[in-house]
Amino acid sequence: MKIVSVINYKGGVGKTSVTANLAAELAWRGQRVLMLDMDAQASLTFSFIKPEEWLEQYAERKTIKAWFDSISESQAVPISDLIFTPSRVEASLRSSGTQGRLDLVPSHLGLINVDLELATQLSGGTLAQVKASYLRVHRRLAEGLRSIDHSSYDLILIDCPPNFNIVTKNALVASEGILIPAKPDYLSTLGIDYLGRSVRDLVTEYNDFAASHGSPAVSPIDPKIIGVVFTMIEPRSGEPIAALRPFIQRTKDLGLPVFQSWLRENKNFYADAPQYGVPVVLLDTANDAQRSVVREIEDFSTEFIAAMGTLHP
Amino acid sequence: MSKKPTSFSTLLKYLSKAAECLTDEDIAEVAAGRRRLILTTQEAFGRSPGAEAKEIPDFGVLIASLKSLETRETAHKLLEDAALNRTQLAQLARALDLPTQGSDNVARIQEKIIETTIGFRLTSNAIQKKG
Repeated sequence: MKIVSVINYKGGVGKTSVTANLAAELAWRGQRVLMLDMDAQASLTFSFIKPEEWLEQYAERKTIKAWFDSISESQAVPISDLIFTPSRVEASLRSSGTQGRLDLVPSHLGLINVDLELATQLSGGTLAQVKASYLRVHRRLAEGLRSIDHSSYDLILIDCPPNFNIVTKNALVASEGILIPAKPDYLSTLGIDYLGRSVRDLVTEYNDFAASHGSPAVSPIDPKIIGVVFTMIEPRSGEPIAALRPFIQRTKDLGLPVFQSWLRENKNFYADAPQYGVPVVLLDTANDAQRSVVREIEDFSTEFIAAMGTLHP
Repeated sequence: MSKKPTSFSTLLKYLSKAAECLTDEDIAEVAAGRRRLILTTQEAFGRSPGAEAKEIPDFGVLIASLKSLETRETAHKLLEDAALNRTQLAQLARALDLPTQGSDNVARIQEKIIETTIGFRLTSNAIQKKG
């Protein structure tokens, strides 16, 4: 089982669409995929279930916020108890005959408050206590994911919020890989730099504290950037328009791995798919435009699988 | 061969060369019929045909030099010293796969070229706190 965080410092880059469609395509190909929605906006959650269903069945006790809260209250529930299978995408996968699976741990709009709560737990009277608190707080999710039978899933995709607060750091500490969706524009590519710096600082700090902790249970972390996938592309003649290409090239020139595949902007398909609970890639293709959208997701997924092979087993 | 076709073919060469200054967006707009091309003539400032082409520097060397610099200021000086006119700057931008707009003046094209060759790396280093 591999764990990958999907993140960009900059919001509005299509992160949730990438997560939902990648997860769905991999499930369609037979993989068992768990999506973990760590973004307080809960966009991934609402891409698979309706808000009223969320409110009735999950909001109070069955979200990742409830899990964080339960630890603070010393009544921790296993994350595995929060996993469910969204019905509409499940029906779509079953009708395709695949053996794959797509499950979800939903988010909560109040997850943003968890960051504040976790921050209060970072204090300590001595440096040793501060370091111990830091490791305990930042390892919460990594420890929690151990409740999941590792033979149950091939991949966990964590949809991270567009910030670098403690919840996000929890996701990165738990992850072996980082997938970065980005728009090829000036501010979005700056977001990639912010993220690279923040990840580097987190790894340095965490591993420094882990080394001084001295426990073999607290191993160093080394999340690798799997790649940058460019989204919301305006294509012309089979490639991004000229105004976008320099930003893609600059990212490559900075030495970051960049997926050859890219995903186009297409509001006709991406804008309303979430409200029906089935990602674009699983819908029947009705025309050439939709086929292009689906083919791009398929191509990206193929590249993603290949890139995953470079991560630690 | 008569004189007229030779002049006409020369004219077509000039037109082709002038079209290189158009951006992809300009070309698409013209092709779609939303914009039209307007041809005018003006004094050639005493240059003989082909003189401009001979003065175009080696873009490969220039690009490599720009990428090797460490500040925007030195990159700007290098471009100034190269004394490229707007057409040549647009050609340099095209060599970098960098789009320019019809409204871009020399300073703006220079800035685009500098950002694409050296500026983006300085920006990245600043954000990532790399010295």
